[in-house]
Amino acid sequence: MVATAGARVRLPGPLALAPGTRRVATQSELPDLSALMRDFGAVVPATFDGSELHLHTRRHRVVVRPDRDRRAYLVESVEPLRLRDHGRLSRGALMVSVPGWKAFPDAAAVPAEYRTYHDELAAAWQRLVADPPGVEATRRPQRHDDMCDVLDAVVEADRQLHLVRRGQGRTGSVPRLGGADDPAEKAARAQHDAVEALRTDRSANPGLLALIADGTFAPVPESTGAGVPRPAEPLDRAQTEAFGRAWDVPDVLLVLGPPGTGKTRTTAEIVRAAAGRGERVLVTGPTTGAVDSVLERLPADHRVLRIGDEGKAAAVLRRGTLERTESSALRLAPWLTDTSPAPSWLTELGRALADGDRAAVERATADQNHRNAVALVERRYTHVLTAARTAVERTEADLAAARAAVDAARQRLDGVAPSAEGWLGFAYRPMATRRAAELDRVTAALAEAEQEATRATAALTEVAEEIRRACATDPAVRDCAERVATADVAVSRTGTAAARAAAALRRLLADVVAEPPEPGKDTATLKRFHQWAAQVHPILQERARLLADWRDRLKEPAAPLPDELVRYADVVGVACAGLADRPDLTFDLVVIVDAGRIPLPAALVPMVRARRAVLVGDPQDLPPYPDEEVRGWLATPGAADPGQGLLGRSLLDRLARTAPPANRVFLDRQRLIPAVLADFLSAQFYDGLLTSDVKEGGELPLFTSPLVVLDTADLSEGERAEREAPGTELWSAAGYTNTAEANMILGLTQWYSRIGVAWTVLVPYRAQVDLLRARLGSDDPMSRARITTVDALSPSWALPDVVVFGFTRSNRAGQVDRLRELRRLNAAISRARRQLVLVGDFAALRAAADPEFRKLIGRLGEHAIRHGAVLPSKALRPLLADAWKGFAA
Amino acid sequence: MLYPAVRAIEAAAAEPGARPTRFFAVLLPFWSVEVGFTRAQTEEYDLIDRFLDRAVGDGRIADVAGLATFLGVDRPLVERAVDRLCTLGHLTRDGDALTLTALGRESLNADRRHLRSAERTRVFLDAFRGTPLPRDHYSALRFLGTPGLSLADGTRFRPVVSFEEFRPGAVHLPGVADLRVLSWRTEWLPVYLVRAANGYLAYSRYGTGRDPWLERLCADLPELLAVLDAEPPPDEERIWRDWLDGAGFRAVHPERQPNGVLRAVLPPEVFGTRFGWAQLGGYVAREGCFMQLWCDDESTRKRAERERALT
Repeated sequence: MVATAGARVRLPGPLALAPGTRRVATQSELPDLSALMRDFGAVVPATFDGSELHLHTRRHRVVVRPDRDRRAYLVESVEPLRLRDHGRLSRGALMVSVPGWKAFPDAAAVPAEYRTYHDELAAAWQRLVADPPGVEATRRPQRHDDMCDVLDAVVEADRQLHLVRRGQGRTGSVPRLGGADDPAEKAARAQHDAVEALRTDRSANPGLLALIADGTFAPVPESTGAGVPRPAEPLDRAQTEAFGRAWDVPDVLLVLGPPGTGKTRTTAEIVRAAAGRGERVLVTGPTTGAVDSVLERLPADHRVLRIGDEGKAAAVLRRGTLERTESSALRLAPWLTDTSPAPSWLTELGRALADGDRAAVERATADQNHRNAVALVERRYTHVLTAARTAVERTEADLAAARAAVDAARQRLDGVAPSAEGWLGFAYRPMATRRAAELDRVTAALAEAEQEATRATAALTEVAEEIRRACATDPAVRDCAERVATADVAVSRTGTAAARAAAALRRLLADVVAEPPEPGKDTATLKRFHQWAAQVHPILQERARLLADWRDRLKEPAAPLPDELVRYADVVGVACAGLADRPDLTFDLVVIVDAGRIPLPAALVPMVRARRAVLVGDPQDLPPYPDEEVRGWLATPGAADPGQGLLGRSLLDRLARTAPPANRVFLDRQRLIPAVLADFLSAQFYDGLLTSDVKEGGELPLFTSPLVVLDTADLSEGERAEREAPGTELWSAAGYTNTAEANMILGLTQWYSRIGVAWTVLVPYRAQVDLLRARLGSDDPMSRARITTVDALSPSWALPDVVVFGFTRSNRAGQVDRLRELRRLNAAISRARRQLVLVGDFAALRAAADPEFRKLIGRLGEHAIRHGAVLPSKALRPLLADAWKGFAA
Repeated sequence: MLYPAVRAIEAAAAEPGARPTRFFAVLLPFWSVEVGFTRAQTEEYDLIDRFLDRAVGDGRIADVAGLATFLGVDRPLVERAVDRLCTLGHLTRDGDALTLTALGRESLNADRRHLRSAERTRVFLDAFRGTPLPRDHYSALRFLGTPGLSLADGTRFRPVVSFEEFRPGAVHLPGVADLRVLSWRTEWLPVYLVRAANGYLAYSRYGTGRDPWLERLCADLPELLAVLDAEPPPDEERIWRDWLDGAGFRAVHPERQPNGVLRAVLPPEVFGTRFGWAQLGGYVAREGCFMQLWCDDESTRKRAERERALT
């Protein structure tokens, strides 16, 4: 599509073209109109220049104007496209869809139905001009792309500053770059990758680039307080506020706190709460010490992991897991291989059941065979048996008949017997006698019949007995009977085997499965049991192998478990530089501690990895690269300021300038240094918002107040003056020493060491540090380490009881240079747990050329006079002398 | 966004046989297309995730508590690992029940962790022919959202527009099957085109010298070449006369060298003071044409060479 800025116009009808009447002097004659029309695309870009309408083909610009009757366009000129035409098209053009074109020899030949639609086109052009579409809304503004370029340049400049600080660029020549494994190289690459992520919209927080470039924060939802958990440790008002806001903030929260305001405690609570609701949290900072001070406040388990410790955590996990899985491994061991007990029992059971089935079949067959054999034998005796049976039947029948005859005879006799005894007995006696004789006869016949019957029965019994004997002795029958017995034994044996196998299997299963079914004793339930067992078997085998493999792998100490644990941990802690080694890690929340000390490019690396961030730090802390270092580097050939005021600064610093109140919390209660000191810092650096909550009192060494000023103005100018030490600072700048101050300072430190007070000496110049160390007269490296420049002081070192700060500068011209960085003084003052001793030529300092410094010294002096102790330097010696005497006594 | 024009001119002048005559600072149109696709990747398994896949797929343990007990690992860790496997597409959750997906099964069979992730990326095609930008150009080039760019040295880039429509079908990514065009827009690439003896030399942020890909692209665009060729030649006499007069060199007259380059001979004392040493033998560019600064004094020239070598 031509141009980004276009407006579509669809014409309802075709357009007519005719040669123009005004002969405009052009480079060439008008080409053939038909050829021209073929060059028009389906969509024609069109612009207006005054009242002239310009139509464009791929190669030509056609200037047309409507004819008088508004029916056709007259072609005034056809020019080749020029760069200026392209330029104009790129800024905006109408995209005109023309249904068709028609050429006519002149305007008069154009039929009446043609129209030019000139008014519509002109109106559309007006709309376009009035409201140009501009850059597509989906594309980010150019200034964001520019910011990415600036950030890339800051990464490079930062790398140079870092090399200089490391001592490789002292002479100002181009520092040699280390190899690919050099930590500085890796860090720079990681930082460039972070900028690339911003550039290509791959940052976890899509609004991060806008936040850095424009200071645009996402709107914070109305905090209802609902769902915010209770902190595990008690927090004061401001800390609770920070805790609550960190819970809700959608993008970035700044927790700004001077020293001693409980930043670490608040941070730990924020981290704990976030992890508690399932967020993955990264805790990072300039040093591992800073990170550790937060991590050690969290419960110690593998869910809180410091990178570097993951090997240990993995070892702990391995041991624990092996212990915990030992018993299940034992219980599953019977399924481990194909020759293990459980498969064996299962196979056995299957086999026994199969055998049992076969035995049952054989028994049935044997039974059948036996019956057949018996039948065969019996058949031989069929006739005899039948005859005997028939005889029995006959005799039985005879017997029955005989009995019946006897009964009948008796009945007849009985029928006549009473009559034979009575009146007419004589008539019946012969009948009775005949009947009695009949009865005798049939009774005798009955006895015979009975005998016959008995004999027949006995004969039958004998036949049966014979048959039985024949069967018993018949070899075939005996053979079959044996077979049946064998089959019986087999059935019983397989039944027992099956039951035993099932019982054994069930015992093993009971260890690994919740409620295995009872196998029972009969075949049907045994078979059901077998089916069930066969079904779970492969799963159990699989589990057994799986568990065995798992345990074997755990016994190997090799990777990748440590890396994996880092990916699963709830809280991961690592110094910023260490994150370069782990590009795969992403998080839900990143918490950056000591954020004021991390250069902006280094902070980008963790920031692009998480959706939300909390930056904790002191806005009045020393910047990552103090101004002198930055200026020194910019003076070298080839060095250029990337712009936007980002060089040498921290991300905290940049965001603190633009963050709305909803995205920042100031922790305002300090509990670390004496109130006298904190009050001064509060007024000077923290808009008076810092309050103190410390127990005052307690014995102070030598002086009566926590704030002590030892003024060398009472010495002669020569005595108190500074001495230049050329080339002792970075960029071969001059350093300074001050012998008078050094002597006083050493006197103090000697005394402090004697009475066991923890002291630190801070001075602005390396040369003065060297001088003091040289004169310390002690080989004790601990003592030497306590003398240092403010810049070299690490925020995570424990606070000393006493800080001695030597201003060192004392000259007529009011030069204070390094001291102009007022935050150095802030850093020094806020490190004294009980007492701060300031040593300097206050007359000269008060007359400093730099107005800000003058003001600060003035206020410091007033504060010291009102709340502290101000002593001329000469008063120190007698004071010390008394103290030593008292000590010796 | 791009280095000053004189650097491109110096490089062109150093090309053997190039004989550069004039240059154009143009903004070439590209389609910037956001595409979505599914990327298939495969990596080594870690320890826990491999065994979780196995335990769910082969061991048929379908719930987190069961997995934790079986593997002897505590529950929050298993939760996290399972979440990750779900995100990777190896496991699905149905309430509390976990199942192994086809992707998970594939991974187990191959014993490597297969991933399918929905990815988005931005692809650039030239707006004339739809030619894809080569991979190695992506990290080096910077595109503009609006067709306008002016550099600190006064160079103004002129946009060129394409008459072609964007065709989603023209977008391809090697090895990707389910490419979807999500959105597209026009972006502009600043390029120096130096007219030389046999065509135009192209200079972009790519590499340290010529950009061969851009040169081939432009050589195939008759509409672009026609537009450039149609530009009237600059009035070099006037331009350089004005420049020299303005710099106080009224007596200096530029001369055309045998290799076609216009050269102005300046007095030795201006080098190392008003002009840097690097500028002796270097060029000044104005309105599409250029002139070389020279000095007749050999020692000055030698000094300039030494200084150039040191930086």
